[in-house]
Amino acid sequence: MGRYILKRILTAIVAFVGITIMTYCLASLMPGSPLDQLVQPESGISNAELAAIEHKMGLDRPIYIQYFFWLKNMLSGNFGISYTQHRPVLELITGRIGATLLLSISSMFLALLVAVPLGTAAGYRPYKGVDYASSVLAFVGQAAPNFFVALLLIYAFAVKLRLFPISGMYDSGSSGTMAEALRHLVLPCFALTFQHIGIFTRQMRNSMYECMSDDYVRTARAKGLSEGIVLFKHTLRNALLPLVTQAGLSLGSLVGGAIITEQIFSWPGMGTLMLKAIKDRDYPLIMGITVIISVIVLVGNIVIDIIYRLLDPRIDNKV
Amino acid sequence: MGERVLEVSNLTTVFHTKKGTFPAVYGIDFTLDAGETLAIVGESGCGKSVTSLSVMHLLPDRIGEVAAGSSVKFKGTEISGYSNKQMSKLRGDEISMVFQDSLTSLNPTMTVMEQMVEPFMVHRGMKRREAEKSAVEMLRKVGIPNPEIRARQYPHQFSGGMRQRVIIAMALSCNPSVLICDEPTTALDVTIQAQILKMIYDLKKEMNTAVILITHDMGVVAETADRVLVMYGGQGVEQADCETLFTNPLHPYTQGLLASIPKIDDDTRLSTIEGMVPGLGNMPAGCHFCDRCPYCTERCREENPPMYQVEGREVRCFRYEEKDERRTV
Repeated sequence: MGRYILKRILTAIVAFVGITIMTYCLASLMPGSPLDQLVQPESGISNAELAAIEHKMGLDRPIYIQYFFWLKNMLSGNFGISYTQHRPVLELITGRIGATLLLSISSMFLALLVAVPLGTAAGYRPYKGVDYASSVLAFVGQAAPNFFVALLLIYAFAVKLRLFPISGMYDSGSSGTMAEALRHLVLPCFALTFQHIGIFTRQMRNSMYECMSDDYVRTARAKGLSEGIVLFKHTLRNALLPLVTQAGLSLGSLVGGAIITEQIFSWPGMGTLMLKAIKDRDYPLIMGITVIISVIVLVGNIVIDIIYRLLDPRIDNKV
Repeated sequence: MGERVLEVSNLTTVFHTKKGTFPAVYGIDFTLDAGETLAIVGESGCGKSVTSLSVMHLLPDRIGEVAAGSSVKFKGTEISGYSNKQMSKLRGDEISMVFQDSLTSLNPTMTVMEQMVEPFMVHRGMKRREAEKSAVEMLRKVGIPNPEIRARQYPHQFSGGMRQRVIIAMALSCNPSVLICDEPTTALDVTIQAQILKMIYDLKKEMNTAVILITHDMGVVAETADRVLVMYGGQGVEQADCETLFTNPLHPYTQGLLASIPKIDDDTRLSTIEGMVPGLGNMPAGCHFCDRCPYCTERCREENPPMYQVEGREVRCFRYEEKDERRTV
């Protein structure tokens, strides 16, 4: 188990280095220099002064040197200063990261919470009512883009029924209680996870359906175990394995999807910060957010690998 | 032999497929006494496994079904109409089953111990600790070295032969009256096969368990069985005690089956039965074997022969009609 986790962490570090290289290269390849944003053309600044600023910012060095400086600073917690907001990038991100994590993690749990029981019921009794209903839900979920689902949810539950607030994380002018945040969380969480509910339910249903005809299930019945034990103790654990893999794959798209969903619901997370940074060509902020998001996804994947290992003891032999 | 433990008569099993409903087993009859070993033999697809799964009520859900008019009596009690709940009291306790593939038959995500204690806890009402002791004892009995340590491991850490021992230990946990072994040694090396068969034989003697051995290996039959039921196309075609069957097979199919066993001192080409077992829904109207039978007549194609009683054995072939002992002239 220890070796397994160590191996996962080492793999994640390699992936992290790869991501930083790509992030830095892509940011450098974008047209326009950061100086264009900082310096107004009509300010009448001289070329010598311009070169001095360029040198101070390290922009006159070769790109790989720039990269190492950036990496070194970042690892010591210095993500640079936002060009447009003139505050440390790390400070801007830490102010927003909680909201994004709350949205992404609650969406993941909501998707699993719906998909596991529904998929299990559908796979256990295939080609019956629950199965058909879950199939419809799954296909609609997979087909509907989440910005569209978000608009429908706002129209139905916020505008018409007035059950949930339209946007934001707290009511304006309130001190912000947990209950209030949760009430605001419902719609964006559903909008973000709707697609994943579909994907997860389908996955769970199929793996349950397949596991039910596995030999060990027959062995369990031949031992005289009750259907409940056969289902929950023998079959479910095996049927969960593909779903755990799927959850790991979906983690990235869930965090990525959060950027759009946050924008629609004015959720004060990293997504809104990211879009603004892109619009402003605020490179330090863009790169900082990209790196932080990839760290979240990498850590999430390690957690999922550990869960997988706990569910399936055969993994040790495969790696 | 001992008390009659199992009496199967007119067992018919149908399969519901996309193309329609077809019988897989056509009215099988056999009996089993305490301590006896009955071998059910035949080619793949002849209905051997379906027969045993029908007895156990373990046919695939919604696909396989035991037809009305079938009778399965366990110690004199009709169990063919039992509910799943009633059956689960018998399964693993009075009637146990060992399956062919030892790797897939054990749950890969549970330790051997977790799986071994279940029969003791469910049928004997034991607490976990007590059940673990009995499980270790049972594992020792089937020849697993260091059972206390091995039991904490997962199935994938066992070899094929060891896994099959675990499965047999699990099946025999509650000292069942009937043990059904569905090709228990097919997936194993020949040397391991012999060990496992000997072990089943020894435990059977010790516990006076009746065994149904399903196999297509005539060598295994010759070594272990008291009585043999030969199946073809979902029907019993011949039933006799082991020695009689091997020395004097009556049914053309049994003759073909025995002729296909390679003999070391014989230089002639190995004999085979031409053709294939007819599939579900493709059964000939007459005798199921008629398409492959060297003695086939017009009558065989139109009419399915009944089981004739000949010299204390049973055979389903018109060639023995004259000799039928039940015949009233």
